Amino acid sequence: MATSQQAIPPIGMLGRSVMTRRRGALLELGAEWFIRSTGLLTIVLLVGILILLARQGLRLFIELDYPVGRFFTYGNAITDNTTDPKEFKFGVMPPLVATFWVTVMTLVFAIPLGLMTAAFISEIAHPRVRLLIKSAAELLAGVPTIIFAFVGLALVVPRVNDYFGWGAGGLSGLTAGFVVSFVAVPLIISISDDAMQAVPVDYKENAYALGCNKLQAIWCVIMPAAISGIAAAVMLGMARAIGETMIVVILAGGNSSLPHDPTESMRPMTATIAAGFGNASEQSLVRPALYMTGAILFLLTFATTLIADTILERQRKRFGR
Amino acid sequence: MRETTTPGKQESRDGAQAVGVSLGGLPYRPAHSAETAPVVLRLDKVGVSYGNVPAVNDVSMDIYKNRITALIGPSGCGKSSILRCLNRMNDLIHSARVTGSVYLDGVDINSDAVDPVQVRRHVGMVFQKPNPFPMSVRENVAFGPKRQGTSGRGPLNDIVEKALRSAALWDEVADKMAQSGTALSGGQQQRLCIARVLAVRPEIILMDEPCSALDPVATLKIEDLMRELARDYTIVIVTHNMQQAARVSDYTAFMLASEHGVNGQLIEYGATNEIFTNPKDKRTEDYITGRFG
Repeated sequence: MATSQQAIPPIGMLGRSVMTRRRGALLELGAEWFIRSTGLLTIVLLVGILILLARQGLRLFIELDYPVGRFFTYGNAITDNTTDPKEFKFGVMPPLVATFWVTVMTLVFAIPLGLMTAAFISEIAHPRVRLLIKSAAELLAGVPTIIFAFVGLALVVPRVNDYFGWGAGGLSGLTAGFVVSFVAVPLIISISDDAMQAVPVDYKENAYALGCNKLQAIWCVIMPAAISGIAAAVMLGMARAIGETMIVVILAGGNSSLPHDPTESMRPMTATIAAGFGNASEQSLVRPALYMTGAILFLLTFATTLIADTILERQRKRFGR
Repeated sequence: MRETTTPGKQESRDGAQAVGVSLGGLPYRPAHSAETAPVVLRLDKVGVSYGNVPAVNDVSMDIYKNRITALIGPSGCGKSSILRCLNRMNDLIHSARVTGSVYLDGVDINSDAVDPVQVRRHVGMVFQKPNPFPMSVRENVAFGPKRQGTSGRGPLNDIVEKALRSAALWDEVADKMAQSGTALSGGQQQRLCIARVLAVRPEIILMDEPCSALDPVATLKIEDLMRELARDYTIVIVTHNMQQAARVSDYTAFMLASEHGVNGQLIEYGATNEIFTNPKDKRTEDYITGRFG
């Protein structure tokens, strides 16, 4: 239209003042970028760690001519300090399977204990008791895991040895898993309790008003509604078990061959890395092999967390919350 | 639908007189001397306090079988607290303390010896917000019976269908039994919640502002349904809506707090037409004529 051009008024004082930059705008821009870059930093770190591990690890196959098939299938993980690819007897399978057993045993003990405690403090206990147990659990989560390892060594190992005779004098994947569960339980309690507390009060009241007893209300209404948080709690407990080092170094027994059941002495990935790295020279095959193991460990925990997030997201959509 | 009510009720609606007469020396206020229906719930000096703050106290009244009793009053007068005494829902609030007695067929359900779970199987409750569980329509209705040990597809299907028919919802959801209960409309959801309560086969149904989240059409449907249900059940309803109380209830109790949320009291209790046409208390009159509240 002809009038459209006339509709734009000439730039006056007000327009000019809007166009000029405020003082401090630059500072603001700087701060914004700083905050943005700290956010980016986490992604850079994540990718950086993976690149570092993979680069160091892949040297094993590319520069040092260690067969890939042997790395993934060999039934032992001997971390002798050698530079000869023919002498090197390292497969990632035994530590991987050991990690699997310790994690499974951890969850076997931690899920029932953690969820029952969470259900108790969330739905049955007096609020004061809830606060007490929850703060105790949070304190427990802050205890260095080496302390748990000591307690396990003093109390659990002799009994496992006396009653069952498992592993190397009571040192086994099961023993380690049992003690690691006490590290995972506070995590599971805390997050599951939060999730159950977040269940709308309406659901709970409806369940009780329909003649449910406490157990039925918890099992049939509250836990299903809180399943997303509970799944996340279990996943995080699992990631904790996969990554736990000190306890498994001390309590899992340290046998580097492939474990067939959790009652055997074994050496999970973290313990293998911790045990092997100290005596590995710069030129040895052990170092890249351990880096490779570390990369797999990293991907494993990464995948666990990713799966946990996916479950959470799906549940959130389903419940519209 | 009101034509279908019992003769006793007709009487109670017409020849109203003796509101406030004491019964056997006790300070009960029988809503109507001509009432022929038996008393199913008797509240005797019931009070509720949260922490050390008394929310409501000294409420004594009789609730008659197969009648709809409405509790009205401004916010914070304690009507919901009183309602929740009738099926021990206050047990769920740690700070709540209930004094006095609530007799259900002669048994004081407020006593420690009584199992609240058993009470709630006799006294069902419908809440303000329609809140089906996030499961199928069928599972929602079957929820209560299942928890009480009913099993098998056949018996459960019968219960579900009967409850949905009683809640005037069957025709609308018969082909949606496997759909999520939360996918229904607001009014349907509330009727689903009523069906869920009916499936437990209670004798008394408590309703805590069941229509406050619904549109007028859905509200009317629920009100019709309540009149229908009063043939088989005793209903106690808390409502903010005085027109609703006037439309739907046989008896009305007016409650008032001395200050907001503290010391709520029963001001007047009687046949609904009495309360609305000829209130005995000035405060009741002020409230129902809209002078406050």
